[in-house]
Amino acid sequence: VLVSAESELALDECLDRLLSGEDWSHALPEADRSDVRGLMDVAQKLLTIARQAPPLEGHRREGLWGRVAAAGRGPEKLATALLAPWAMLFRLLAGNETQAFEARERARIRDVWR
Amino acid sequence: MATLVAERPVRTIRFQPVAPNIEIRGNEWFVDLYESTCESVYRFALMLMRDPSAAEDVAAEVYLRAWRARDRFEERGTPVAWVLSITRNCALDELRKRRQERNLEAIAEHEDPTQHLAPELSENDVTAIHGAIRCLTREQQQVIFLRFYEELPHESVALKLGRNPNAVRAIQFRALSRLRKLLEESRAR
Repeated sequence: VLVSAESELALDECLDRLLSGEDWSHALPEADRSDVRGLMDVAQKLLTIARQAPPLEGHRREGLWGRVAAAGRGPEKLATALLAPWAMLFRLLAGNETQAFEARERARIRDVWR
Repeated sequence: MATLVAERPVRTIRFQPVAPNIEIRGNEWFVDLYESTCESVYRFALMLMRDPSAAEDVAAEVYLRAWRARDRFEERGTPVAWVLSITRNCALDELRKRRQERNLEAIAEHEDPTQHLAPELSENDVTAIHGAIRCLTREQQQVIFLRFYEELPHESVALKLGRNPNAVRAIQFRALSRLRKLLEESRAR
């Protein structure tokens, strides 16, 4: 199927507007762009589904990291010993639960690997 | 089962006498890879599997495979493109396994986390779209994922995949055309 670069550009422009919540139809030129309009119907459905996909967080995030790390082992005793107090300090200072969780988990998993 | 073992807690170790330019990647490299890509890997797996538990299984398998194949990474472009390719392979394996086991009840029970969350779309629409996504090529799936799930502009998608921006625009056009065709076929059935 031959597709003009103009169509690809027009679609890209429409997608940018769709993603930023603007009216994408304004990005289409006066000339008939039924090819792009048809694809934008699909794009809208796709975006609806994509925006409902849950992020990786909470127990799932913890579970995944735990499974990945527990599948291996490493002789990084020194790294573990050094990292654990830093992770604790980071948690106290950062106050950001997600980052603190990551730091805590890194230290914990390295403990497991010992 | 592969073991995640690094000889030293350093990013890379070179063994000159064996073969020059061969890098043995260690745990630090792996942890960095995990931290920079786990969210994308999980959501990409979710796009393909439609089941959060299955997506988690796939993501865990992805990193085991990534660890085993870490020395082949250079040949495969950017880290994101590499792990997304592995994710696709793992997801296809998992879907194949499920089909073979004919565990359809379990799939039906867990498969659709979006059905209660996307009231604008019918269950048939959601099923058809996910089915169509699975039929896309590897690069089309990656572009669709990064463009719609990560909501990146095409220039960033190109950067993440190590591709030319014009090529990404062409791939996204072809991907949406293919999706549209597949959805029309699905409606006609």
